[in-house]
Amino acid sequence: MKHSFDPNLCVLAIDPASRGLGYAVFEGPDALIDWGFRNIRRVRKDVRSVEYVEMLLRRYKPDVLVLESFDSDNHVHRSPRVLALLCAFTSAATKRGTRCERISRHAVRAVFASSNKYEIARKLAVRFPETKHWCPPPRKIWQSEDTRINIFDALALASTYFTVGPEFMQRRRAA
Amino acid sequence: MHKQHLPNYLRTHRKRHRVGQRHVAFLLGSKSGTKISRYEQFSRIPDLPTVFALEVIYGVPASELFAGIFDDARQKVEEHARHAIRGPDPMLAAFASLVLDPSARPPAKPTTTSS
Repeated sequence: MKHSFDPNLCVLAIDPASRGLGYAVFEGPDALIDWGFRNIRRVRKDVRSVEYVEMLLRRYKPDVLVLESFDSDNHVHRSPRVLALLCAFTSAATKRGTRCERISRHAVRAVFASSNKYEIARKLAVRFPETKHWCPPPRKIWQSEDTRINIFDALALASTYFTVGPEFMQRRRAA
Repeated sequence: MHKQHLPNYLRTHRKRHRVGQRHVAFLLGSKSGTKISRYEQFSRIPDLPTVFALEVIYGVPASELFAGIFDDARQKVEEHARHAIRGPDPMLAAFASLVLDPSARPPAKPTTTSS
């Protein structure tokens, strides 16, 4: 399904994690402007995370901030710290007049027709070859998660937003 | 509403080339990547020789690298040209109309020889 977007619609997607946050900035569905993982650990990491997001909002002036859906009725298994952080990001965006959209993990999986985030990361690396060398190998069961996967989670959130379109988001808000 | 470009896309192109700020700084003849960081954070605008050096480094025209600044400059020139068309000077008005409609411009003769 095609949606009409402003070709320069600037979207910032953020995926917070225990050791920092992954982010992706788009100008339209195919123009990836910036991406990365910001390591934020130890002291005042929540405050520093919010400060970093505020800096991204200031630098790129996005039209939309895309975050993972964190409604309790969606049975999202994220730590209370990350849920509080997502709320803080939302209020930081609202303060600047940036629209905030939430995309559920189910929507991301439906768009990429996959339930494995490493598979989704591989698909994204093919679509955006500049991110190919960031793509982490599938982790073994005894390994902790690679922080680079958060970049692809953010990319997946933004791509899903561009695929499902603003009409879908409006319908969801109205429901 | 048409959204404006970012002032520059240096960070995007640097990341696409998978190089660090200090690598670009070395090619520009700087000792550290501080200047590059400031250009990428839009807190400082490079001078003209640096703009051309960046064009050579990334292989992208300066008008694309500095798309936001280019858009601003074009908007200002077009605004001045619209004023000039309404003004009393017929020669300036004719030149301003060429500025606003580049397709009506005669083909430019090359001024430099490529080596």
